[in-house]
Amino acid sequence: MLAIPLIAALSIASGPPASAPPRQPAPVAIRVDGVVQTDGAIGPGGWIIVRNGRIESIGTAAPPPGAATFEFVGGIACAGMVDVATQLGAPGQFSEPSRAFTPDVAAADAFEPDHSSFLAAARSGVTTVALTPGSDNIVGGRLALIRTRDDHDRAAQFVGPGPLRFTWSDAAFPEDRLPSSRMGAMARLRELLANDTAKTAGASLVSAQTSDQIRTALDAFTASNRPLALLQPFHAEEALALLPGRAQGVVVGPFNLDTAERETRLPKQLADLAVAVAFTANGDGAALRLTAAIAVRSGLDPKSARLGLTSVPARLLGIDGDAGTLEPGKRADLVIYGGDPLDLAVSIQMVLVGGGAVAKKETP
Amino acid sequence: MIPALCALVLAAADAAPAASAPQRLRGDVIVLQAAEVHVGDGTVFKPGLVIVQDGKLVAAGQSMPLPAGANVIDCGSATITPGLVDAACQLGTSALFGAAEQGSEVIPQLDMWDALDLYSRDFEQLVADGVTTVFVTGEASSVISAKGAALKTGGPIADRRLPAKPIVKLTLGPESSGRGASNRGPSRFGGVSYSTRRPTTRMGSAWVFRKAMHDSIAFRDAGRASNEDLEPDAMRALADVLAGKTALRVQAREALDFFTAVKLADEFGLSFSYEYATEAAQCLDLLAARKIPVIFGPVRSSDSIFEGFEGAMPALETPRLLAAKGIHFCLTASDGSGEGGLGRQAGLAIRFGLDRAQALRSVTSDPAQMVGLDGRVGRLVPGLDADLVVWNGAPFDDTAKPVLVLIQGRPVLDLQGKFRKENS
Amino acid sequence: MKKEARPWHRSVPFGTAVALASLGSPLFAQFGPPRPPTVIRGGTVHLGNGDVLANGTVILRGREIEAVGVDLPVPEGAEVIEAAGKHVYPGLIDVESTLLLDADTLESGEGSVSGRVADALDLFDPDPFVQAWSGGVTTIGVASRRGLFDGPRAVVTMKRSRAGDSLLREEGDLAITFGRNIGRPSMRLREWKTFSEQLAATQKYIESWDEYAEKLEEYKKEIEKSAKEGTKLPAEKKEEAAPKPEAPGGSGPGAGEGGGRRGPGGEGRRPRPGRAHAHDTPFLNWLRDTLGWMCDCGLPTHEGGHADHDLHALLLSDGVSYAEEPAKPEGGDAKKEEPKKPARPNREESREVLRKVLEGKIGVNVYFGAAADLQNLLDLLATYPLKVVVTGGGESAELADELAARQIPTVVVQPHDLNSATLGAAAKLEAAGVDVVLTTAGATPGATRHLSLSAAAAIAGGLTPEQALAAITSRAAALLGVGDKVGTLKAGMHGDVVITRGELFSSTAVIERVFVEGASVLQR
Repeated sequence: MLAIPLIAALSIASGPPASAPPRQPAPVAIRVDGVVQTDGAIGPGGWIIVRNGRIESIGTAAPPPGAATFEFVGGIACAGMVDVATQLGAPGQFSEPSRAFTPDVAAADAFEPDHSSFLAAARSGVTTVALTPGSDNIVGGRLALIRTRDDHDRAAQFVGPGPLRFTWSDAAFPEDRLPSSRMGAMARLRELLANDTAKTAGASLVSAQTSDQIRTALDAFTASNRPLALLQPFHAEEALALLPGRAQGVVVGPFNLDTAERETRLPKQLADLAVAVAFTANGDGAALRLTAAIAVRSGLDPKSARLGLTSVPARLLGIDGDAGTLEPGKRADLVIYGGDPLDLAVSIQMVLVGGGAVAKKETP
Repeated sequence: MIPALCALVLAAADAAPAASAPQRLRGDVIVLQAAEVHVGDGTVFKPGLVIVQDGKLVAAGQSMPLPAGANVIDCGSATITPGLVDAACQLGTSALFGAAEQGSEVIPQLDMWDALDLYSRDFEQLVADGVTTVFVTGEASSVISAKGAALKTGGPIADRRLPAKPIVKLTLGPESSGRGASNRGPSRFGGVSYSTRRPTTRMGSAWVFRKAMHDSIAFRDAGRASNEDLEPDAMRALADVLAGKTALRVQAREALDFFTAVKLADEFGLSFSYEYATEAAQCLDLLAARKIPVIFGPVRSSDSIFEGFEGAMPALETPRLLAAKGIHFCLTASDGSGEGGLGRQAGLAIRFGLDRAQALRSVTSDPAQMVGLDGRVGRLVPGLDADLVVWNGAPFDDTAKPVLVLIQGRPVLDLQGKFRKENS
Repeated sequence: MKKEARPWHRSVPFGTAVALASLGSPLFAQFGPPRPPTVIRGGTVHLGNGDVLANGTVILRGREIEAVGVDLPVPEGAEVIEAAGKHVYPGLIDVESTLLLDADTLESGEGSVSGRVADALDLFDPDPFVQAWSGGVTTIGVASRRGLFDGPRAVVTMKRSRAGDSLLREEGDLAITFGRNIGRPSMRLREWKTFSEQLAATQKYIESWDEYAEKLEEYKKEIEKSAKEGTKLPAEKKEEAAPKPEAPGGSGPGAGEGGGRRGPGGEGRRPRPGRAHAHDTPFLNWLRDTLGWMCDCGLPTHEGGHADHDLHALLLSDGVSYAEEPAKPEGGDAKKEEPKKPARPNREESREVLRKVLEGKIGVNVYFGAAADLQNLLDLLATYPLKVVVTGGGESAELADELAARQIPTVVVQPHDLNSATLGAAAKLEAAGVDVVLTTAGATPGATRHLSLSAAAAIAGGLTPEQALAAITSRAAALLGVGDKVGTLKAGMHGDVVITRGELFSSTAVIERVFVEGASVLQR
């Protein structure tokens, strides 16, 4: 029932080879009854016009002549989901543990564009993922930003180099590797931050668990004027008050039915402090939505939860100019749900990545 | 003992008399009244009161007109002293990663601040002991340690760090040459093992220090590194030691290591302070002649009087002897906060003959002065931080303990709920 | 207390209610003053059986629902809750939850047929109650699943009660678990062999008692006959009226049957005389484990003997011999003048429980790990017509038609990550005609609070919202055997009611009020 067949036959999805001149595909017009707005609220719907892979208008224009039209009664359009911490395509290949500091390692080097997990991610409504180096190193390397589908029906890296991944928790301090103390690591870290001149738009992703790990990470990044996003900062209620104004956001997840309430209420605590929350679930859209739903049931307001699936992670990755919200001019990464994206009873009707349809629910 | 003349002293910033500017002081002002107020420099007010505003001490005296609208807290028969200061604390470092950096035995470029866990439960214990300021000294497993860090034991995280003068520590003796668990170097990656890296003997420790200093001099003069082990930053930091910009402290439990330290200091024209001076009683004349400041302690209850570390004798009478010789000294509890803390060190010193007033100084103003913080903490005089301890008896008696502790005017320990009552 | 017109918990926010819950007594509601009736009006009332009343009214009085309908008059003195724009549901039911069980009960030891989970519940820890209420759950089925047999399940109303009346059913279905024995070899062959052997042995046990009853009747007739003939009166006669546990087995007729394998003490292995409950002691549990291990290793257990037969029987029988022929009264053979009293078989608790199962007095709730287990079970039902409920993941959809044809109630465990691959199972079963019940059966107790979310995921898999609601209310109640008390909003049922802002299955729904047996337990 839930199986979503790939509609490869849609003319816009099967593009010409890379060397061919830019296509001029027919515009696509999708009618929905609601649109998730930039503030996370669900606003009125209308026709969404997509042309040349970009959103041309939302609710203001009628379908242009020659457009492929789709209508979804009760459908709600939302930006494609963005997951900032995945290891899609090559699980276990994103850690290089021989050294504590491996800033030159790039997750892009382990990227496999044709891996089926990217297609699965796209079908589940995830349109952008970051491949993230593992937690074995203090500095684990650079993230790779991947669109789950491109014009040639494969995943594609679309900007480089990505932000750095840091691990400030005990996983990065094995007994038999230098530096052995946090002050030794801090000295190296400051040196690295001072010398790292790579221009990256996004926030560095920092794993830190305990309150004091968070405090020192914030100190180091604030001193070098670097934006950072914290990854899974559980066990750190004392340090949450330090985050406003200093952390770009916090990334949590995945949650499931067994996740302790102590963890599931963290998004609400952060929202109360006006700290942005992004959800992560290794690129699985269903798991991302479950994570958001559980966060909402644990107190998070629905608007923040919707943004946590889309615009917050896009901002953390520095691609918010192009993705993360539905606005004219942005890339047409959009998902049509049968209702509120947060409702688990609702299923995905259609997914477009860069204007190309990846998945469309079978209509009986 | 000391005639307690009422002295209404106001901080320079608040030069106007309190009574004339009530609206300026209203709400923020806390007045504590107690049977005794010990200023920390020998002065005692009986009864006494202190006035606190905006985290600073505004006045201390016997009696004075109270500012209108002040929050007056009556501590009854209690005694108020300055918050205690430990100049050689070894608590509060991150339990997970430790402060023992195995990358090199000479790490003066590093900072102990980075090894601290400000959320450590150690700080709660220090507050409970009445200690409000600590100087966390370098780890003894390095020959030349990281710079120590000074901080408050409580209050908002952002306000904790204090601008102490930079001090690195030279450790001589078994701590820096031993083969204990904390001294084992990494082996799998990086090619460093303790047999190649660590000094394993006393003379080895001295050699590492001497070589590092010579390397640093060569680096300073030639402008490039000659020692592949030492990072340029480390040699720059050592140059600061040679130039006197960074102070040197020596940890040597045994007298023979102390004499080695004196020899090494002479070689490079350095002066130093003497930490963990277990056998200081055996070198009193040299300490007095060279005016070497001593940070003495801790005496542990687990140490019997007859056996100490490697045969060293922890002399309970040492504080009295140091005082008699006129040697500048202070007391430390090091990592022994669980044993009654710094107050117990002072109590033991009093029991073995040290004057009470000097005992108080040796855990407040003297240590503050030794780490360059005497302009911030250590005494109850106007303009200094409002760090104070209210004791429910004579301070340092076994039966007395802190019942109220303020750090920068904020209650961080309030066993009797004085602030809860007053504010609700 | 008296002058407080409204119970405390109606006027305080939820956070305070939670704080007070930990203090205990205020939530033991029935000790408070009598409550005025509560009227919930204006809301969309979902009855739980598929019917919906727009602008409906629910009246709670005492512990029960007094009336449900449209435009009902408000009784005098009633507290009125305006539910316009809100939704009203029966209290939700998680048929398999581990709330109220502590970690020790869940993880340690081994299940036994006669151990009732009702005896292991911790009704004093406030936390599970708060968790359940926060998810709108008011009734749970509790099972521990540690071994193949785990004894009868319990059904509990989530109210904090000192009166001991929170158990809706103390002896529910027997929990049987296949393919989930963590830490022991979980071989399907062995599990099924054990299971069917147990049933066979119980069958024999029943037969031996039937035979005994028959013989006893004959014997009594013989005695009466000889009494009429004026022969001597056997001394034992008065005992027979009320048979009691056999005195030392060594002296009974049963002692002879073990003679071939006498232990060093000269006494044959015999059933523990007069200690029918002994197999529940920790020592014997330990012993059984050890003996089981010895059997597995083929170790001899006493001189000249081999563990395998002797002790394996002991292992499988909860410490009581059954593998041998039950002690047969020998009196029947004796064609003597003197009538001989038939030997009474030992009463065995575990057999008594399984006897109720075979006689259809209690059902079995079978958890299976794979479709193959379910097939085995269906095959076994041909021999033993058990009252069976099956519990499992999406695998049950493989046999949907079979389950529908035999009208076997089916519980679908929603995976903890609500993984989409198995969410279609409930809809598939429903389409085949099975009345599906949904549960979290979480590895952690906290999963129960997400019961409505997990049902929402089944809706995404194709279930209708009405079916999903029934699956966690009315059908769940019927499956637990308490359908006459909870699970539906109907006059005379327990006053378990949930009021939500937004539809229950929406993630953004807020569970605003929860009533358990008419008492408000959650308000936010």
